[in-house]
Amino acid sequence: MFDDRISGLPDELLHSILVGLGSAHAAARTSVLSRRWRHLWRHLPELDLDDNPDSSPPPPPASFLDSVDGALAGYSAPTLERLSISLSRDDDYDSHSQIQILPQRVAPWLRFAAERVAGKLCLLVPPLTMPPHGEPDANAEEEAVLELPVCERAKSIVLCLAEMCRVRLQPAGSFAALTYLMIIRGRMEGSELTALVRTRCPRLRELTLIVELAATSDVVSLRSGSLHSLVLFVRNARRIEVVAPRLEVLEVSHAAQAHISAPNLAEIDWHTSDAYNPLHHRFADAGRRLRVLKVGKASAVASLLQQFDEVDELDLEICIPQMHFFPLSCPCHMEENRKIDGTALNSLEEVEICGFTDSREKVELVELLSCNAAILKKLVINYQISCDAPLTKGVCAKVRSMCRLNVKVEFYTFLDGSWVRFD
Amino acid sequence: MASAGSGDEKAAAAAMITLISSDNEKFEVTEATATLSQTIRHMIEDGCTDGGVPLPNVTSKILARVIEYCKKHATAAAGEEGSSSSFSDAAFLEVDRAFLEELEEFDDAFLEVDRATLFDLILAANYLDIKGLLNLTCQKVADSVKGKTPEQIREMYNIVNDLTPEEEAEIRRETQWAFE
Repeated sequence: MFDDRISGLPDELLHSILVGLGSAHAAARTSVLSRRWRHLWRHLPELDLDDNPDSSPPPPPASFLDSVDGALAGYSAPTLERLSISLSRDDDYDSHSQIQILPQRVAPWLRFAAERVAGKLCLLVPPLTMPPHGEPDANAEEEAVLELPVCERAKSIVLCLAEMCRVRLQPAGSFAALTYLMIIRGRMEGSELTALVRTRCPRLRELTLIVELAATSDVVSLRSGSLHSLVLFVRNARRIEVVAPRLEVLEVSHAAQAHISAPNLAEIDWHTSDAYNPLHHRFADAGRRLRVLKVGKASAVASLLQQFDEVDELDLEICIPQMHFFPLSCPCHMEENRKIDGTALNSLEEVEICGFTDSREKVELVELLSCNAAILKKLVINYQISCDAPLTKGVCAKVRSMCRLNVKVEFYTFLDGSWVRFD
Repeated sequence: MASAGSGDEKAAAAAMITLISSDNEKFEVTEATATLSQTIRHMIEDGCTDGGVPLPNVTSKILARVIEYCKKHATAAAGEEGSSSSFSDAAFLEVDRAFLEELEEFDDAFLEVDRATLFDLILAANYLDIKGLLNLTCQKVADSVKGKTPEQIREMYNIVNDLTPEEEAEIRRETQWAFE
């Protein structure tokens, strides 16, 4: 009855239990339990080195960095399925803002990962302390170089780096197993990104780049026969070229010019601060039909829509100005400018409106949809989260009265952190 | 309709598997339930389940609990396939959410067992290769250890400290980074 059942479990099950602690620190502390436990943690298939484990208060950052060094030095298995190193940035926590995670601290961790990680690598370090926005800082130009070693066996890499971190690739070698890559922050050279995707990642399926190009007006040219999904937030790019025959999902931000050749494209999220302009943004051989099209506020919706004949799901961010803010002389008040003619919504079956209020303009939008969408079956209305006038039964009745009887209208309000059905 | 119904029954009857515990008790389960165990799935694929599947490492008491888990989760797996919809329909999502909550409640209640049973379940899940059950039970042990000092863990699980004070001091030095 008082057997030590836990120590009798085979190593792999004790490993599962120690991984379940979610903290390499906690796992390593079990090494003092007994001889049986002494070396168990050194062979864990997964290491979580986070500075925000359940136990509070979090360790001071300097000692956290030392503890990562200590953990990696003590680890002894040749292969690791998952390595996660994450230093959260908590602005309330003073000592955090003093610390600078210099690339020379991170570089040995990456070299460790390059040798051992055969699955997922996740490295999240906070941005370096930045001067307040708008104040040009002489040091801002001083980049620190971080060399990304070739991780031959890693299948997934997520790097969240410091702004000033200049990422350079090891000159040779292939990320042979890599299918998922995400780089957040940091600077890269356009030609290096181009080479990374074109020749160094033969199996890459999903790529997310939220980076700044080291030289402004650089060109990024991504050619890949394996890429299925691409998210590009690349600042400073003069021109982005994508040639990806298997690409299905594309999200773009910051693209002064773009040339995209992706015949299998099915989902586009065009969120750029540079409005879509058919002269500068080309979808060379995209089909005329999309599964999903999302268009951000800044983009010229109409010209992007004209690229395609058919879309299953259209996600539009539109601005509906309240007209009483405009003088009566404004052309927007003229009756003919408020009609939308020739808008065919013949296939529209479902509409979801977010940020709804009972302002006259938004109610008119519902009326417009209801008049033009002959086969509309369902209308979902998510009421604006922070609104002075809460949703009332009266508003629901008013909206319902505008729709045909066979349109199912549902109202949702945001209550205690989740959306709940109102009526 | 009637013929379709009896056809289904035949298919279901054909897909029953007999599991035999270490104390020789027989349990009839559907193939869908049994194949949550990769070990049994491979035996079925190899055609070696006629006359029942002997499980010499699992007692009837534990096997009954394991089957209870598999039945519930096999239904869940079938439900997931059934509810696939091309629309992200709020009603569907609500049904899914309710179902997942129910499953979570089931898992929580399922884990309300004494330590000895918990370890038996871990070993059975490992032997039968039932990933979900193995994760669930190992996580239960992990959660019980979280935030505890080594002394508390030793006491909780009757772990005898066979390290000399010198050895323990040495380990603490080696893994000092973890104790700070």
